[in-house]
Amino acid sequence: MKALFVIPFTTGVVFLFSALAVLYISWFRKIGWKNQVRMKNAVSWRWFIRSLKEVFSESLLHLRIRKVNLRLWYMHMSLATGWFLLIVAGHAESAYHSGTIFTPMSHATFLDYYSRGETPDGWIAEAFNHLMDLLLLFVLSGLMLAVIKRFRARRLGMKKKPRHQTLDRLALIFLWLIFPARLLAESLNHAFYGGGGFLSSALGGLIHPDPGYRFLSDAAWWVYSLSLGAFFVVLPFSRYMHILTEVPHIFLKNAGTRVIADEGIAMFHAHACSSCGICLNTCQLNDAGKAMGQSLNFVRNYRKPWPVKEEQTMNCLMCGRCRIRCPVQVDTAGLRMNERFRHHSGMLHEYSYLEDKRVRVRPARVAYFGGCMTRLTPSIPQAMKKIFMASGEDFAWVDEKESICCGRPLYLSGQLDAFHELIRHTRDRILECGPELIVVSCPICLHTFSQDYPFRIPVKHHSQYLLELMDRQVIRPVRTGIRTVYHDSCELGRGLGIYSEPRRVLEQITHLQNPDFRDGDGMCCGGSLAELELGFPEIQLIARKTIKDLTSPDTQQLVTGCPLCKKTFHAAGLLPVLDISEAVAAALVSVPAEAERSLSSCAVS
Amino acid sequence: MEFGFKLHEDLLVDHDHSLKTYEELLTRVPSLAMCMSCGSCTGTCVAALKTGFGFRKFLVLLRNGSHRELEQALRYCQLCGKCWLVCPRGVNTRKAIIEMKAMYENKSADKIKADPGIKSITQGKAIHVVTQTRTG
Repeated sequence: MKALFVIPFTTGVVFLFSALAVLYISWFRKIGWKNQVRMKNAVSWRWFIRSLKEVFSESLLHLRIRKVNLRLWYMHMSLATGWFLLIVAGHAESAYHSGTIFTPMSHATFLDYYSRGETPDGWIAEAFNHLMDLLLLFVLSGLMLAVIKRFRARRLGMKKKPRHQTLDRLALIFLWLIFPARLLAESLNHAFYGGGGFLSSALGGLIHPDPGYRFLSDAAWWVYSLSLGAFFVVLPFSRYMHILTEVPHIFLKNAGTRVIADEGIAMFHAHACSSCGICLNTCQLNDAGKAMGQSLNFVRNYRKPWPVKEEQTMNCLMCGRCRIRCPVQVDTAGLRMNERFRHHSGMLHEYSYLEDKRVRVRPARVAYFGGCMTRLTPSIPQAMKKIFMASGEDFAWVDEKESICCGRPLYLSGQLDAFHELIRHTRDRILECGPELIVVSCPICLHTFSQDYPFRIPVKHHSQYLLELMDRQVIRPVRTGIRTVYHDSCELGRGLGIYSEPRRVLEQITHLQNPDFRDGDGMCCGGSLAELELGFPEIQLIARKTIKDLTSPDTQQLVTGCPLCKKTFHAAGLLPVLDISEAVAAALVSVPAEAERSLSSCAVS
Repeated sequence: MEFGFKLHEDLLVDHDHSLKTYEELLTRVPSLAMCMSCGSCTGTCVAALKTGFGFRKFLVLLRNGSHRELEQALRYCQLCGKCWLVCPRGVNTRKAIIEMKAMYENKSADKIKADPGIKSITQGKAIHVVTQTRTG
């Protein structure tokens, strides 16, 4: 009866594991059949070992955060690894003392209380005492950095720190209390009853209390147990749920499961988010000053049982920078798409007017699809026309007379039914000319074509096509030597992984100032079609910041591969902005006279 | 009571009349107030070319209270965003379209459809009814 103080701890542990069981079972039951098949196919030793390795490297050592900031990494790593090792070493010590590995959890947690007055016998017990103190010191050093981060986030490389909600703050207080309470409890314990490692015995000696105040030792154990118990009770409802959810999340992620339209997997992703705030610092909405929908805030609200507000769901460029930087690889874009589907999926649509048989496209080898955005940047299709003619290509511009959307804006807004209806029309229009190859000028369309359209013929971005022509020496543009910076658009770079082809084209015709690239580092122009909340001035703030970050003072032109990026950057008016096709067309010297005549007579809308 | 002259219905401007639905939309999409009906949006829109309904017309229909027509017209939109990009006043047309669609498809749609809009003034129907009853 003397160890009543373990009751809060035990209650907390029982509550935590019961809540976990209920939540995990409910999420597993929500997993759709497609992901169930993926999971079944993925089960193998290789998958298991790879996932286990990732659990150690990311849930404990947090190696991805190391690339962001060393101090931030040390904070996360020391708290996670230190606490984990404290538990493991505590159990080992408890097993050593009791002679069996089946010791109760409370015995291992409060071992110093149970071994009061016992002098360590042998060097192993002594070593355990010092090890436990060392680990506690390790955790406390991380805790100190966590406190600094809360008040001086910039010291840990965070320009913007997350603002936590009530339950998260409550859990934070309990978490911060646990380790100092443990140190105090052990120190007082050793001060009254002797023993302890280098830290707790030294601190106990410093306190040097009167033997009449022995109840203080018991009180400190109560505080430790209460803080642990309270933390465990709050944990399933706070961001600290990530501590335990990261493990199943990593196994499910490595099994190839997808978040889109699967509420079960989505819940694992949402609860694996630790709200660390790294996504906030990589988000370009910071430049716009309207950032209520940033991933951290969105994912936090996604965890709640009620829908996320429309403004928050739609306030996102969907550029994917947060997803690339996320240390636990939470599919932030997938979660947001799920929420958008929930808001807008069933909206009614009517596209029968697109079945106009008067619009005919003549048969050709290459179908050129400009996309809606090239209607607003007519110099791009004109340049492509010049290149097609110079190379003697048999091409048909399928959306010359009538612009037709690829459906990506509908998809990004969450109108899934309308999207499926529209892609049927667009696909028919493109395939009408019986092409062997589809060349697309708009990365937004290209992304949709390669992901959602059942095309059996290759689809290429015009930069890929241009490189092919130049490699085959069908066209021979001259080198102009203009100092150029290439901008990776989000859809082309992060979306489709096309980084090197445009650069190889530009290296041959200009003086390219950024020939190297780091996967995922590209910046958004701000004019994203996925965003519904920003106004023109805010978009321009992002565009200007991107141009300033990308270019140097001696840059003469900015070249991009996306008509929407071109239009957005052009409005900023900081320097000339060209599409890659325009740069190539301008560098062509030997254009057949027939092509020149045809171009001068063709009217591009 | 007769004063010997009639109200000319086409010249009536009723400033007391509120455009509830339009104003509600305005609170969600404040940039709508910037629209000067230049028609750039309609000029660039493929749905407008084919069906005759562009963004400018959406606003006219909304103000007029032609809810049935507007509800149908909104279904033609492909949400491609050309209207948003060409707008010289920076009106967030895509958000307005999504909001209008949501308005007609949510639970309180019947209430919105009951809003007579400005039609009652331009066509003089409401006032006409009142004058008729007064004159007997």
